[in-house]
Amino acid sequence: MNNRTINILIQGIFLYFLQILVFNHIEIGPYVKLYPYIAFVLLYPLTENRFGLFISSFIFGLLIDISAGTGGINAMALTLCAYLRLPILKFVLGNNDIDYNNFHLRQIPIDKGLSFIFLMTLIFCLMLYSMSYFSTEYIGSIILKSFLSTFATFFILILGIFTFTKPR
Amino acid sequence: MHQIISLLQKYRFFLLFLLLESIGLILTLNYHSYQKTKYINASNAFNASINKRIFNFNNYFKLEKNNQILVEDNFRLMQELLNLKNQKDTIIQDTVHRNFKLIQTEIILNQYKNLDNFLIINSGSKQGIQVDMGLINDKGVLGIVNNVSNNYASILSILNSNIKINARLKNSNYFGTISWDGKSYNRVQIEDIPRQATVEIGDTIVTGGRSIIFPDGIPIGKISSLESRDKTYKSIEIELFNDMASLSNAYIIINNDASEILNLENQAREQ
Repeated sequence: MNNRTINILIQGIFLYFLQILVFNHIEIGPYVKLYPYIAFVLLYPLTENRFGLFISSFIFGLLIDISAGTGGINAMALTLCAYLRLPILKFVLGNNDIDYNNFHLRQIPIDKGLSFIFLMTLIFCLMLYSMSYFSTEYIGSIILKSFLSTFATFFILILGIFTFTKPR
Repeated sequence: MHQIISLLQKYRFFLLFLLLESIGLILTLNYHSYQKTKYINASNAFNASINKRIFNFNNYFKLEKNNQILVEDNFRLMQELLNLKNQKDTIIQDTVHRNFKLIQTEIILNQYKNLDNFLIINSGSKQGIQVDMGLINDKGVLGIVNNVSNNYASILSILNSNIKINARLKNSNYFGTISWDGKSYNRVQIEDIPRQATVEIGDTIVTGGRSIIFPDGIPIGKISSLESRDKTYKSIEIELFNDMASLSNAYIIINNDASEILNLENQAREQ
């Protein structure tokens, strides 16, 4: 097991317990839930081989689902984020020349970094609530909860990422 | 063959993504099927023990509030006792309530923000809990037991889109069915109220007693809004007496006659 794998594991375990022990129990009104564990996908090292990212995201989401008793909604939402991470990053950065080996979120311009985190969080929340309600009858609730939870999670993510990661 | 392999090679990430999403979708579909939700249950010892620890930790911060609730309970019971003493000449003919027994329990996991919410209590089959028993607290109905393990039980919350509870208007004996539309965690809806019933905002809704789960007269909530059209009630919203976001102590209702009634029902169906 190399250093990078150990880092991913420690990061994953920390985010898992943070989510199930703390954030799953924080209530902000009837519509807002916080999902900072999405940082797992945001901070996962960028490689051209995305198998590891997909599989670990799916397993991570599934563990959250098992703990919260939510079927497979977290696994689906986190896997979607993992799949869309590279296309969204390319879209936000506006070019395809990404240095896979040395990439880090703190390396890119702050406005682009914030856009990337916001878009990823929004996609995650939309997928999560769509799967949670699983009916077009609740489209209003899905959109409202997704946007409010996105803003709250985005704020927590910014705070966490800027506190716990070093500038590059 | 070579082309197929190169095609698979080209779209390998997308195919893996589809495979993982399909597995997730199957799990999600199972989650949305009421009959299959039994895996969200207390039999998962790991979850139950984590939830119990969190409950114990959080409980310290709720001691003052819980104490206040107990004081209010005590006050209400003392008043009822006083009233009963004053009515000592009256013969109490209510035979319904004698058949029900309560088991005190604690809610260790409380969901209320999903479409299909569940509660988990720290009492199970060892304490005599069985499927289809009712869960209430001092303010009213909370849900129905849907799965039981040795020490825990999961409850289909009143905030679950699959729930149906027989209810009636307290002031008149018109019956309806309580359901939840998934929109607000402090409001449920009552359906099937007959058009001849006089319904007003502020009317109290209680359980109807037409099922073996809840006895008659357990409070549920009061009517907060109603919409009528062509002399029929389109939608009646009920504001719950309970604050579903903050639950801790509760009681399981055991109907001592449940098996007898069920046997009779089964016999009647067979005939």
